[in-house]
Amino acid sequence: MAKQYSADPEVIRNYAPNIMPKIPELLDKLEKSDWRKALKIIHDKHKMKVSTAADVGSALRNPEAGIERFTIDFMDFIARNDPELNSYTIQEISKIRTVDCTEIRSSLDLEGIILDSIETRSETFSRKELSQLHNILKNIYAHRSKRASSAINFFDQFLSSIDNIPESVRSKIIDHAYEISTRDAVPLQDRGKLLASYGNATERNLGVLGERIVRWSSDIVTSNKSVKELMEYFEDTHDYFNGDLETIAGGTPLSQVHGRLLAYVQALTGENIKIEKSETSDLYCSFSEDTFFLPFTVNVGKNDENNLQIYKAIASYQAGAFMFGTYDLDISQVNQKTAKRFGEEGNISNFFNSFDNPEFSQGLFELLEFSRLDYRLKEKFPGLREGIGNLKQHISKSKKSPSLLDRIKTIVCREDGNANPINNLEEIITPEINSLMIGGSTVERTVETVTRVYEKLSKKYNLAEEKLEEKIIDINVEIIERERDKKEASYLVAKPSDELTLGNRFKYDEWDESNNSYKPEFVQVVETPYPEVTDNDYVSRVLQQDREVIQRLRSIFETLSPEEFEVIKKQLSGEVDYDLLVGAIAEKASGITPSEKVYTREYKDQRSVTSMVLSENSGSLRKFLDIKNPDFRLIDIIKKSKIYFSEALDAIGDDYALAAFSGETEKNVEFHLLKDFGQSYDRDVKRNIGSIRPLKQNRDGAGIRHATSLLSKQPERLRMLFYLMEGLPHDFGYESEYAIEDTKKAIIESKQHGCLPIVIASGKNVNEGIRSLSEHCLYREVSDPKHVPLMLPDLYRRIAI
Amino acid sequence: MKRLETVVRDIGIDERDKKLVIQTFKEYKKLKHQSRADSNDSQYKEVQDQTFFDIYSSIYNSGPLAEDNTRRGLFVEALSGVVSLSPSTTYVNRLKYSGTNACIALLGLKKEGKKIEKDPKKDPIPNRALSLWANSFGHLKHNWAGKNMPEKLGRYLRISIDHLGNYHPSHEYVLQSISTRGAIFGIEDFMFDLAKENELDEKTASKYFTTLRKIPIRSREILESIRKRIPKKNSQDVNNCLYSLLSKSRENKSSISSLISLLAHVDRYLPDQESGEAILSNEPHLTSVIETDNNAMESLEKNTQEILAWGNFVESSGLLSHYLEVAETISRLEDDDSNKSSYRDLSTEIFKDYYRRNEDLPKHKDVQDKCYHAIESISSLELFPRSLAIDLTTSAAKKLKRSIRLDREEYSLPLDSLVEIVVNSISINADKANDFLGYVIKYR
Repeated sequence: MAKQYSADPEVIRNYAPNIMPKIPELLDKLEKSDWRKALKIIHDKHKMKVSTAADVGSALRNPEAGIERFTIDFMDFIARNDPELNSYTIQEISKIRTVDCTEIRSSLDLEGIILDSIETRSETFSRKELSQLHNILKNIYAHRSKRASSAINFFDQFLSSIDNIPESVRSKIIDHAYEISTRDAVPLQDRGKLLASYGNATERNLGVLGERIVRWSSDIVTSNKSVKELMEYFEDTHDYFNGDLETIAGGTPLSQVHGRLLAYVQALTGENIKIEKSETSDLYCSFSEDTFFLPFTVNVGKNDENNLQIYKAIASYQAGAFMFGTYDLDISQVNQKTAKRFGEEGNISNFFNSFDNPEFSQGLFELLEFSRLDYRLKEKFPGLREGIGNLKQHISKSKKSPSLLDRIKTIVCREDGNANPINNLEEIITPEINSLMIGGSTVERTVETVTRVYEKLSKKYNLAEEKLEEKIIDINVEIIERERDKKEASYLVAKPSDELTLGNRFKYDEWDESNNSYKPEFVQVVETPYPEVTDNDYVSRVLQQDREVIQRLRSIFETLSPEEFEVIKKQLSGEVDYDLLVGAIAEKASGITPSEKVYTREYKDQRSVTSMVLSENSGSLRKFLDIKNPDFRLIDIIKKSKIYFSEALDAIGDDYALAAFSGETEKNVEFHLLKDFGQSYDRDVKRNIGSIRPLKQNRDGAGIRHATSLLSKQPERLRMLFYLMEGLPHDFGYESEYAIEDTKKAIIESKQHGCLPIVIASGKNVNEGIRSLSEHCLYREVSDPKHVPLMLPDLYRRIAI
Repeated sequence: MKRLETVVRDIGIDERDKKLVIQTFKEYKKLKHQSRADSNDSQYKEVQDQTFFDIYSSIYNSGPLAEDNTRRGLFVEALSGVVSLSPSTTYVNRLKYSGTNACIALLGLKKEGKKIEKDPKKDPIPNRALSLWANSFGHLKHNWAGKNMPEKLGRYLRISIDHLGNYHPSHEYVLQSISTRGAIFGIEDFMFDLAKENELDEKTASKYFTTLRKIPIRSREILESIRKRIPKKNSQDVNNCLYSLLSKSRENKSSISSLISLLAHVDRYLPDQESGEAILSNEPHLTSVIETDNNAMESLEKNTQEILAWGNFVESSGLLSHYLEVAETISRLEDDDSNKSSYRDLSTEIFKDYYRRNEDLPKHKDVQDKCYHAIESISSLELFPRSLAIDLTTSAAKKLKRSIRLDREEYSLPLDSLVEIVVNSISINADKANDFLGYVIKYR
């Protein structure tokens, strides 16, 4: 027989300290009858706990903290809300939980869940929806199961999904969820999990289906799928029911144009970019790792071709971010006022956070950068104009009550960017957009513009609550940060480090152009292993990627190889020269004493050649080589050059060394021998090459002097010093003419020490100063650095062989 | 055994005293006596009677009595009174404070029969006083009829020896009052002390007597036990203080027994050396309460006991006087007596809320302020809401356990805070406040 619980005054008195202080606030918030029900909820909750604890006494002495917490929350809730909502809340809690021994389920804080649910959603959800949600909760936990707590977790998951469902379809979705939770075929213990999966799948597909999600959901509810089938369906909708979704979604599905888009994006970026579906049908492209996420479907164009143009336009903005340097933000190129906002770490997050409303500043950055990219794209790819136009027309559709950023978005998306401003906002925004719409405009200009625009706007508008509801380009801030991190070790370091590297130290003079004299032993070069060398497969990847080129290179050098051997006839020993032998026998037969020199011998050519490939390893080598190919930078040219050179000389067997240098100040020029003379082109050397990365500054004179010192000690007669130069020499107190003149002196000294300096200057930063080196050495200037790797063995072949 | 008349004649009793002496002897012979197990009961009784007669005659015929008929008469009269009041022979001749011993002492005789002072001027006790004392037995007999006679007689004899043996003229007024107006059993010591210490004249002594007679019998022993423990140095001040409080109580028709109980609590809970000081220092508060609220003492006595017990527990000095100061303030309020009683109860509980542990004892002044604030906020309400507030607060104080109210640090609810909640709630909506608060307190 069921045990009946009677009201116990002690229980409520026990919580009096939590209840009574709130009473003055509650008087106007509740009717008398509701107050009694509210106390009964607390009473019953306590009894529930007691009944499970089976120890009334101890429960009274040590009231369960959870119940106490709930009591406080409950009172606070009532105090905050109006009588109508309070009455409703009490009714909802009472509905879900009644103390009755026949129906004791668990001591979980269901009451708290209801409170939270109403608190969070009462303004956005209808009472009917909320009640239905609570009915669902009742359905999934109403059993005596140890899994009750997990059922609650599943309900929570479902709630977080449902929160993202638009109001227009939410009610239906909740009703469907209720039906799922009452399906007879679903075992009680599985209801929670099924519900959570349903919520998750609904949320996921919403981005694709929009309001058509109702049809999808309705089909599910009325289907005869088993629990297992439903679970699989919810958890892996894309793979299982792709067709269903696309059919419901309409428009042009990504799958239909995937191949064409992939080719387009890869061609545009020059990278092996992948394309995936995003979970929304919003018209923008996000980027993560090596993947562009594009809308599952586009259904705004007139036809499939029109939609494809829009797809292309969407992808182009993200590709444009790579091509036009969005992710290559260089703070040293930003004006001082804006640079300060990046903080000491030079962090773009700091930049956004330096404004009152970081969310607004980031939104503004994305809009202005969109504007810049838009111009650059149309300038470079006129064919994109139509797609871009359609896209912008769609995304700028005005909303009922647009936020400030939405209004800016409309201005940004206007195709007639130069139109005369017609209101205050346009007066501020339009000139700034126009300032970005110039050829060669950079992301650095965009951040400066953000600073300026934000300051102007903040004088006229309250920016505190403003945010951007829908993006038009998603700029991955993490990637900008990552690039910043890479720069940290290089030229972005504001002050030279005082730390000296361990290793053998060498002192060299440095030429002081202004005094027309050397500074004796002014520079210290520290010879040290390459820092932080790790196992890597860089060389093998290059060999694989460029196998055709390298094989050709090796075969060329291998074909050169025989030329190094000379067959010398008429020797006293060696291989028999049958021609001579026949002659000797004939002479002997004719009575002439024949010569004994009937042998031939092969002698190695006496070419006496050695070489060193020296490169500076400054931070500037991290620059993109080709905007379309962000993963291929100047540093990769250096690495490839050393690989090509090594492969070539390995084929011919000549000795050589590979070296790089970088450093900070005259006290610490680090010189790394990647491959020493006499060392074979082995695994260690390959690891070293693979580990090369942009480091600090480049004090070229010191690097060349030390290389000369090492090279000049080699016994070979021809000692070639290949110096790969990118841009101007630069170190603390070492720049401009001073640096150029010292480098020139070092090259002259190298020559004086019996070396043959060969300078290969590449890139767009080659100036007259660098060119002036050509007076003192073999000098090659390469406008496209990609040619450097092949140029190096070619020069070697021409000079040495 | 000779006839009593013969015995009386043989031992030389005057004709004038003869009748009363014979009556005394007769009554003595009727008295019960303690028998010895190893002796013949009747023989022992006879020996004992004989001894009494011998002592009687020896006193009667020796020293100043032999030459002073007045004193003889007083002796005969007194011993007759003693014998007539004695339940057994013991109280006549064996106890330290027996009637015979008392007579010997008071009449200036020595037990061993030494000569008494011949010069009446040097006699420490005037005949007038002795006469009053002797007469008192008659009045006593009338008033004492009832139980516990032996104890009462013994005590009276002791008091007689103590006080008359240390004679002061004011004692005469006391004796006069006793002998003419009846017993003040249990507080004779107090009366004698007051009379002597204040050198009372007849009229004042009479007034004092009247006041003391109003002390309920059951409280007299308590009062005396309080007085006994008061250190000598405070004795006179305390006696006067006590009398003053009793007197005010009488004048204002305030409960004397409650006052004495209250004082007894002070005596019980405070160390001996402190209780006298405490009584003296709190006299103004108590007097004020008595004068302004003659119904206060009953509840104040109960509350004071709780405060003293509480104060004893937390070892907080000064708790009593600060509490009584609050009680005094409450008594002065213009409010119903029953409300004032509730305020005192409430203040007691507030004191108890704040003096709960030895560590972190609050400042007395702060606690007083909390009491004043709470009472003020209730008393500022109109009549109906005030009684509602008092009802809710009192119920809450009774039903919400202190441990539950205060042991949760984060949600501590001392009574003064509760009063604030109650008053605030009532001010907003009295009807709902009654319902909301009442339902928490009386949940069914």
